[in-house]
Amino acid sequence: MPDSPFPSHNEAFEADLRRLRQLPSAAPAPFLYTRVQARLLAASEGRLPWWLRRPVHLLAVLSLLLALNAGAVLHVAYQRYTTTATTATSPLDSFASEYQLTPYVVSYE
Amino acid sequence: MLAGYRQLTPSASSTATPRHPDALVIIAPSTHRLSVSDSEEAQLLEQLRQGSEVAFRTVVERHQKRVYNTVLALVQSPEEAEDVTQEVFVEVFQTVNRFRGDAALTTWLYRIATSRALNAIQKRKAKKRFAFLTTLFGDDNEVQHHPPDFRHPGVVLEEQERIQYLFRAIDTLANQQKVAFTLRYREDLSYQEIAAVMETTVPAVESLLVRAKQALRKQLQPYYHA
Repeated sequence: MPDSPFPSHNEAFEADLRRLRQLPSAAPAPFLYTRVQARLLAASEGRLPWWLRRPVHLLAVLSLLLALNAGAVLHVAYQRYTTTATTATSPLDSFASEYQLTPYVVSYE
Repeated sequence: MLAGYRQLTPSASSTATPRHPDALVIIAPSTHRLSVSDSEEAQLLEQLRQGSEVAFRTVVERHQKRVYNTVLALVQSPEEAEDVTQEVFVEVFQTVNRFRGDAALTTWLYRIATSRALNAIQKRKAKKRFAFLTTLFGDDNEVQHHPPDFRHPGVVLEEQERIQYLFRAIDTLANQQKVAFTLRYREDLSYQEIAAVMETTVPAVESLLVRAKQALRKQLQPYYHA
C-alpha cells in the first residue's frame, strides 16, 4: 500500500531521505581536544571546595590547622602543669579530698 | 590511518554495500562494523581506564567527527553540538571505569552522545518555557531562547530550503524516533547497531523508524503539495 495518495510525494520523500544520507559530514571547530581538556580540568576543580582550589588558600588552611593544634596542645600541657602543682601533696590528702572526708579533731581528755 | 580501521561515513559505507535504504543488514557480530579492531580497542580501553592521556587523545581525535555529527543532527545547532560533544568526551573520561566493555566503544559513544543530546534538547525546551519570564525583564520583547533555523554546514545553497524543512520536521519527532532516524539516515547504522545503541530490540527499532517516516511524510505533505 502506498504511504501517500500521491506517488510523486513518495518519490520526493525518498529523494529527500537520500539527500539526507548524502549530506557531507560536518566537523567540529579545530582543537576540540584542548577544549575537552580544559573542561575536564574545570570539572575536577569543581569537585574541590573553593578554599582548596588555589595553593595559597590550601597553605593558609593548613597553617591555621597547625596553629590551632599547637595551641590546643600547649593549653592542655599548661593546665596539667598547674593542676599538678596546686593539688594534693600527700596520698592521704588526695584520698580524703576525693571521698570528701572532713577531718575533725576529737578532744582527748 | 591505523590498520583495520574503516572510516564510517555515509557515502563510504553506501558505496561498499549498495542496498535498499530500509533493507535489514545482518552483520555478525552485530557491532563489529563499528569497531576499529577488537584487540586494539581493548588495548585502548585498558589504557584509558589507567588514565592515559595519549589513549584519551586518540579516542577524541578518532571519534570527534562521528560524535559531533550525531549530536548536530539531533540538537540542530552547531554551537550546542560543539558543547555537547565536549560533554560527551568528558563523560567518557570520567566513566570509562564503569564501562564493562559489553558493547563496542563506538556503540557506547553513540549511546552517551544521543543521551546527552536529548538532555540538551530537554534543557532548551525548559528554558523556552521560562522564556516568557525572561522577556519580562529583557530590553526587547522577543523570545530569547528560540534557536534560529538550522542550516547544516554541508548543505549547498540550492538545497538549503528543502533540507531546512526536513530538519524542522525531524525536530518535531518524538525523542526515540528522532534518535533511531538520525542513526539510520545520518550515521547509516544497521538496525542491529541502532538496537545496540538504544538498548532495545531490532523489531522495536523497525517500528520506531516506520513511525518516524510516517510522521515525517505527514509533516512534509504541505511542502510537497506546494
